[in-house]
Amino acid sequence: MLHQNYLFNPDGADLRLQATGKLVLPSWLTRLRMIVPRGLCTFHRIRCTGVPQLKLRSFARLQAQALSPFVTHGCAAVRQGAWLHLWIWDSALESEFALKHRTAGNFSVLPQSLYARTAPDGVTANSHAGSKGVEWLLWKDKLLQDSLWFRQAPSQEEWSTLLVNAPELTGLGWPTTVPINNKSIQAAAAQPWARNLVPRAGGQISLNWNSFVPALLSVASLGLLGWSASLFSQKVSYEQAIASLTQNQEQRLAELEPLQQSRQQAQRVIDWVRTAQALLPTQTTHELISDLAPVITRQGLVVREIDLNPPTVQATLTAPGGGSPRLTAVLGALESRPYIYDARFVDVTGVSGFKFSWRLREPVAPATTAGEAP
Amino acid sequence: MTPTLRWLVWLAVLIGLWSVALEWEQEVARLKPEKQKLEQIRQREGSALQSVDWKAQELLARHAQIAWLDRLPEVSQVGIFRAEAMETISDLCGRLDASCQIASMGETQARGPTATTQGATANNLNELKGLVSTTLRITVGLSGNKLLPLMQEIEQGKVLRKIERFTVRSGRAELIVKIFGLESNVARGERAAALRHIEQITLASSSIAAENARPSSAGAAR
Repeated sequence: MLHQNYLFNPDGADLRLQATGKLVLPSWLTRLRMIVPRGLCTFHRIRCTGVPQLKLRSFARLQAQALSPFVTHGCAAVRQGAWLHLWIWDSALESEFALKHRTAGNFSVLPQSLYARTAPDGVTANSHAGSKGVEWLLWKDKLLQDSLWFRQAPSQEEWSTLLVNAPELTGLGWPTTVPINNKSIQAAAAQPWARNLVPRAGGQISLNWNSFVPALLSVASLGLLGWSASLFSQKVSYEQAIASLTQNQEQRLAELEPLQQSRQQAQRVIDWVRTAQALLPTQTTHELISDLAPVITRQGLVVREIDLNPPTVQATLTAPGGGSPRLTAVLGALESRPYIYDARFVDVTGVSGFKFSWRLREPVAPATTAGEAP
Repeated sequence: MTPTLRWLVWLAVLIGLWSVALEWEQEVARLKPEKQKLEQIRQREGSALQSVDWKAQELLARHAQIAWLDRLPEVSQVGIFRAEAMETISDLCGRLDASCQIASMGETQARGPTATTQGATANNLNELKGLVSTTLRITVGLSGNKLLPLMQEIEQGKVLRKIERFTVRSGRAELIVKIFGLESNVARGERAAALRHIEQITLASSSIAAENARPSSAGAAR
């Protein structure tokens, strides 16, 4: 996974613990982690009721400083409920580990206890072939109650003697009989069962820059090269397409030449027909007179004089009975025709002649099709 | 060379390549719409010409042209054209039993881009080439209800005529009628060209139809 775990061995080379996760990153991308054997740590259980979460780290450091038997020390703290579990070790071990692995402090440190198997209740044992001794952990309601380390697993007699000499163990809940024999020791867990509250100073950097930067640059280079190649190929293909489109223009024009000639020929004849059509008015004079006659006679009037000189028409109308026509009715009737506008009364001529004038609207020329014949 | 310096050099090379790639990207962004525009122009050119059956349009237009040529008498001599126009109107009045007085007005005008007969110089390109027109004044009495039939005959007759002014005063109607004709050489040329093209288009379309029909008939025989 993200770490290469090494169980510290004070007597020789450190033992690398195999990663068991599904995702295993290459070693140059993972971070180094030192696991301190339980035999080289001291364990303390401190009540932390009322300590705010934000101050818990400082609280753990202060407690480690107060309880440490070493001149300089490293520590790991885990909070569970109202209790703070504290492991303290000699920081000389970390220097030794750094020398072995030639790292400049870029590693994290955890106690071996955090790799123990957990249990809801009872006692679990934690041991590893690479480290000496065995650790017993007492659990209650899934919370760690106590941790004991033995050079060798004690016999019943030794255990009873220990309980007599240290009565607080019975108070913590340790059983009176030997809780675990050597055969039931379980293998260590692959991942720690809790997070350390006090990471090691100087161990914060989790990336191996010497490997990470070249990797990042390589990925960026590959991506950039791919992108550039794609852009270049697009550019070249567009340029070629434009060049071929431009070069083929003359050939294309030659292909379209017969169609172009047909179009010009047809257009010339259509223009000729349109010009011929324009010689005739869209409404002939006899149609106009035939359409206007009922409009005027319906008003009870007779045409005495008319002068039709398109677009102007002047007409003198007279009532046969000698009366005068209703001007609004006559003008309204005239303007009801769609081709008449600007109808107005001009004056009275003679005794009973009423002169009107109006203009003929130029009709909207319909879209001419080629097939229109006179 | 320290690793840091090596990384910096590598980064500088990457930045250089990136700037080149950015230039290519801009060029691609410029070339892409240009190519699409060229393709659209090419497509539009083709579809504009191919979407309309110009041969069929020309055939229709030629038929319409012949119909219009039928309404425009051929004019070889202007005086004769005017006299014929007066005679035709006079015959019309006689046929309708209307008492008409016919007089010519102004000069006969020949218009169009190549008009050479006489009259005003033709500079209006919208007018028909070789068009000739003459104007007559017709005075008709209103008695007998002959006026409307006369106007209808004048405007809807075989020859193209236009009533330019219509006046009724003191019991008489006065019509200013314009009669159109076409110079004989122009009319013959246009008619011959129209007939020739109609024949060519008809022949071409019938040969195409025969070509299309041949495979199916061969298949049926087999």
